[in-house]
Amino acid sequence: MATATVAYLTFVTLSIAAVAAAATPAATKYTNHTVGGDAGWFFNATTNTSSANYSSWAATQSFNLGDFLLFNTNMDQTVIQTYNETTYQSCSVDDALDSDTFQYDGGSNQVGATTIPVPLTMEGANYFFSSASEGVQCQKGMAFEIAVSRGLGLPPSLNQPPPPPYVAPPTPSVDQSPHVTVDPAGGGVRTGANLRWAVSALLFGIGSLFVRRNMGLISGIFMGTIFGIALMAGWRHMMRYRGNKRVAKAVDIKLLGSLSRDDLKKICGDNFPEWISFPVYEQVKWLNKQLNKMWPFVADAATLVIRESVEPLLEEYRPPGITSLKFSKLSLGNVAPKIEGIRVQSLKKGQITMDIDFRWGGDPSIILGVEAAMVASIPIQLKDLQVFTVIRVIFQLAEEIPCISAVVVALLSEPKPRIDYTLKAVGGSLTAIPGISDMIDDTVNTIVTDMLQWPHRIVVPIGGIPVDLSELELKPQGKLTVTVVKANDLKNMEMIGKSDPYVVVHIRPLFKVKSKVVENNLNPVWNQTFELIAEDKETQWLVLEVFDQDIGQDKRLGIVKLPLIELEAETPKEVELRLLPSLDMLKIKDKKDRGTITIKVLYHQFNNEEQMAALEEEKQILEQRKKLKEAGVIGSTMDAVGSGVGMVGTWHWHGCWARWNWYWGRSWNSWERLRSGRQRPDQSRKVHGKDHHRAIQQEEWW
Amino acid sequence: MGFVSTVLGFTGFGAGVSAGLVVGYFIFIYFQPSDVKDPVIRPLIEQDTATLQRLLPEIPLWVKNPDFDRIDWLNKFIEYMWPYLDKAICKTAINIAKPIIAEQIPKYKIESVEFETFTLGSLPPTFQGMKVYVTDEKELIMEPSLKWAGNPNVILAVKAFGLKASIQVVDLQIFAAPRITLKPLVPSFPCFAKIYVSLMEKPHVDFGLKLLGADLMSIPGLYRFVQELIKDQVAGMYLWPKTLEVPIMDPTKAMQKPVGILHVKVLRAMKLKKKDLLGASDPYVKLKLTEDKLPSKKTTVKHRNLNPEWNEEFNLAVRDPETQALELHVYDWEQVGKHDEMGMHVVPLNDIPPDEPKVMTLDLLKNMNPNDVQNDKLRGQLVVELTYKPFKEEFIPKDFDDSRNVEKAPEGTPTSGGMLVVMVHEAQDVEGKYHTNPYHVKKNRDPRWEEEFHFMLDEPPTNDKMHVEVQSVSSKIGLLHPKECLGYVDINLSDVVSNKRINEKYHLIDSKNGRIQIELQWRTSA
Repeated sequence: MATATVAYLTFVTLSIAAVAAAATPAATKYTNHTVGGDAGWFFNATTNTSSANYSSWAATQSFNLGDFLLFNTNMDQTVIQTYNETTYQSCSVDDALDSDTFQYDGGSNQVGATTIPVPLTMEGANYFFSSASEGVQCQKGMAFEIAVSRGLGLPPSLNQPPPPPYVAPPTPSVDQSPHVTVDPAGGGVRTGANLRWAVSALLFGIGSLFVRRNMGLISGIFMGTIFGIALMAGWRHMMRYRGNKRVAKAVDIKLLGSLSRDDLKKICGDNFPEWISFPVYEQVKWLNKQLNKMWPFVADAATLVIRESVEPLLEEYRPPGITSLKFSKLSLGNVAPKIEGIRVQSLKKGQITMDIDFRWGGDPSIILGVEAAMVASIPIQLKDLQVFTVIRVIFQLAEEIPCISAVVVALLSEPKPRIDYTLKAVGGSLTAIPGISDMIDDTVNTIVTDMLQWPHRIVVPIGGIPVDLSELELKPQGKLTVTVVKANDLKNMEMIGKSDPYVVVHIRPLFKVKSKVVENNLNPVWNQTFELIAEDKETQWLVLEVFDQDIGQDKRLGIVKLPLIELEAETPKEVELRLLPSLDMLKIKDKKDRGTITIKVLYHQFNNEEQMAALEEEKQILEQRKKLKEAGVIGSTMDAVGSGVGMVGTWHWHGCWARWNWYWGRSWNSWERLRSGRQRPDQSRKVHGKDHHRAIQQEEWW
Repeated sequence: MGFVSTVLGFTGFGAGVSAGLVVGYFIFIYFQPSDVKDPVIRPLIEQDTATLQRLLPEIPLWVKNPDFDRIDWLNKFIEYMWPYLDKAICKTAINIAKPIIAEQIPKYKIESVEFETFTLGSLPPTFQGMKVYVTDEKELIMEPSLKWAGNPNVILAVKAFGLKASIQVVDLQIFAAPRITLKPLVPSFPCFAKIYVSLMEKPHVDFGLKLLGADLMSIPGLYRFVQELIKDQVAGMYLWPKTLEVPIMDPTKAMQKPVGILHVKVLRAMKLKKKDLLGASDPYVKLKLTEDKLPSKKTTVKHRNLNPEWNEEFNLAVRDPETQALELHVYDWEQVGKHDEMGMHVVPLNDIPPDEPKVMTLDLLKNMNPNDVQNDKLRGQLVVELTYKPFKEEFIPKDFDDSRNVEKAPEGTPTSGGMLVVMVHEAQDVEGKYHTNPYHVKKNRDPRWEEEFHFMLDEPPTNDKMHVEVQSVSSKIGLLHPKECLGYVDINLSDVVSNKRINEKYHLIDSKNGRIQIELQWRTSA
């Protein structure tokens, strides 16, 4: 900036000087009178004499308006011009009026020789004296009187309304100076004055050079060019300066946006604020405050949503013994959940993983209406609900607003989600339906583990951005071929004879397969092979359950699980597993031996095509099951085991499909017969829609 | 002569300056790169003392003030999201700007205006702290400290008369302290109806504006001037108490306030089916609006009548005429046992023209499934007259904020007096010695009532006090303490008269730590 300004000023000065030079006529009839001639305007303080007799000098000159008197002098003398004779006689300016007396000085405090030009602007008597040394100089000869005649009259540059003919004290390079240079004969310029004087003199030297040759245009161009270039250089300098400053600030802000403990320590030094801590899960007090305030409203809104989304889920995962499972009352209570902390990571490009440490020890009022076969509906209250879990939310990013194409929600399996509650029958006892408490526990557990717990997840597409969600969905990864060979030393549960054992095998509870029943045998041999789909080898496991077929409820003889991670791909393996009463170690009360089960397993990792095929098949199965369910053949999708239809898994499905076809065909045939026989047009019209429901009903009726 | 050379000198200088500027421009500015480089960011721990000193004024608020919370997780989130957000925003901005440009161009004889580059840079906005305020009103207030010192690069190329000029915006910096208020809170997602945004102080704005590569904002005077101008403009629009209002959902709908009344006149039924073994059925009609929590209304029972005439009228409050429907069920009354349903019908409210009585003859059905064969059976007909009267505009509070300005007292209030409205919102930490069942709310330390009581008064209650007592009732009979006081408070009413509205939490007397939130309003007719 400063550079540019100085450059600018310099050039302005230059140019003005040049212009002024050009404007002045080359030859003038005005005269410069150097006071005292070569002797100048000096006073010798030691001898108390002036360097010249000024009155006699004045007498030799003739003065006209517009002429200049040049006082070659130094700081020891002053130049007073007055039109007032009294002032002149008193040799003092003390009582002088501003209107008729003027003091000239060099305009600077420089020590050394200086030239003071004084214009003659008034006709008649003009008096000059030096007021220095309290009038002594004046009395000793530093005074003279001149008579100014009209001559040419005042030049335009000096033509100010007289009186007062005041002209600003002459500083270098202003209008009065031209004469000085223009007429060197008038005494010339004393060099060695001040710097600025010199500079302006130099400029005028150049200027006059051009002026003399009448070349104002070229000088203008020359100076203008330099001026312009300098301006641009200055500008660029400024640009860089400002640019760097902005970038530096941007970096600062960026750094301060993610401070760590060490950073803060470095900034704050010893004054580290104590209330700040840096846990892995960042605390969100403000969010909890807001949540608290908002909770009554959120609870109301969420109730509706939960009812709508969870009820079908309960239906889907409902255990076979229960015919209907619904909320009869649902309110989330007054206690808001708490978010202990939030952690944000980017584990995969294009995805943001947010882990929310969620804790809710709430007081919700949840009453389940449970209807079991043969028993009337009993309301069951869920009390003292406690949920402690880490919710993982994965945001799939996209390059379209709102920038998130899908959200994946799951509960982290480690630490294991804790969902505690106590069940209480309202106006009755839980013992009314034996095993109901376990059934509900199982249902809740199944829902949580098979839907929510990692690697299972809920994928929610957002914002209508077309995106391939298959990446996010849990996909079949491999196929597990299980051959249930035999079991040894099973426990006898029957009063008469021995158990009739069969095995139920699953990886996901939604896809269970069941072996044939070997009657009256505690060392049964099945030798049956099943194929199961595995979605995530790292976290999933194979579950084998041995049941005793019985009238009414089948009894469990034992259960065992085999983590898939223990299996090597494409390598057949035969294992003998010890059966346990329950998978939940806390529930095992006895340590009785329950026998062993022998299986052969082979894990096959899918390639892409197989994966697609498996995915497609899985979808079909679910779809078919839904239809079956609508048709009332099976009570819920989980019923597969209990009802006769329930063989799932790729191998068994064809059988089921065939059976369904047969089923459907039979009903259709029966219907056709019916239609032709009875000829009821109003009904036949409706059945053309091939409504399964109607068809089945019809069949029952038939 | 002199004049001519003066003119020549001036002309020369002018020409020289122009030439010099052009030359200087090409030497110093033209070859400057127009792309924006990502700044090198060294970890703070490596920075020297001078840099740290420079950082000090920008230290986040959460470091300085304990009432601000750190939200670095959000910063991280935005940082990961930023490349995508950048592209999305730029794409959208270009798409929005294009038609506008296309429309404006012909007016100015410009050939084309297009974006050469449009990117928001690699540096995302950051939140340097978050503060929330908790008030007794139904609102959430938060104050994030938002700082965006980015490195965006926007180049707009303008072509006109065969020449091309480019305008470039770089290094945008915006620091703002907005206050975001979510209110009113409503019981349906996303749980608030409106967002109010206002700035608590003038925002800091800084940027580089390059015209043909030369940064205009580095001209000393201009920079300050433009900055101040922008600040004042923005401040004039959004500086608190001026706010920007963003409606999210219709608050009246969200609050589910009635918007009209449905007059139902149940006239008669015809050809009902016989259900009882002995004699004819004993029909009555139950009516209800869907999505309504209120219990159904019933007509009288017409004994032994298969063609009953009721001519009974009912009024139902309608909350949403678009989605709600009237359900009509005809039942057979029984002295003992379950009442049999004889048939039903559902009339969607948007079938009914407003303010016009409409007589409808409805075929009774088993259920509303049009494909169900059971509906083919004839069950008789029901005749009703329906009139939907939407409330006139002035009856519906136009803005939810009206609740803030106290409503006027209803007509018939004595002029000298008014109506005292007491709204009991909620209480906290009330606890009894023997049981904690505050009225209607069972076993709860933090009950919520949200109930409203009206007291009509002849004169302002300047010298009166209101006694509020929280009581607990035990449902168990025979207990020693059937009723128990959980605490009380006396409220001076003169404050209410002078303030018109007071919403405060009062500490309960005779209670360990209990508090009760009560809103008082003094409504006058004037």
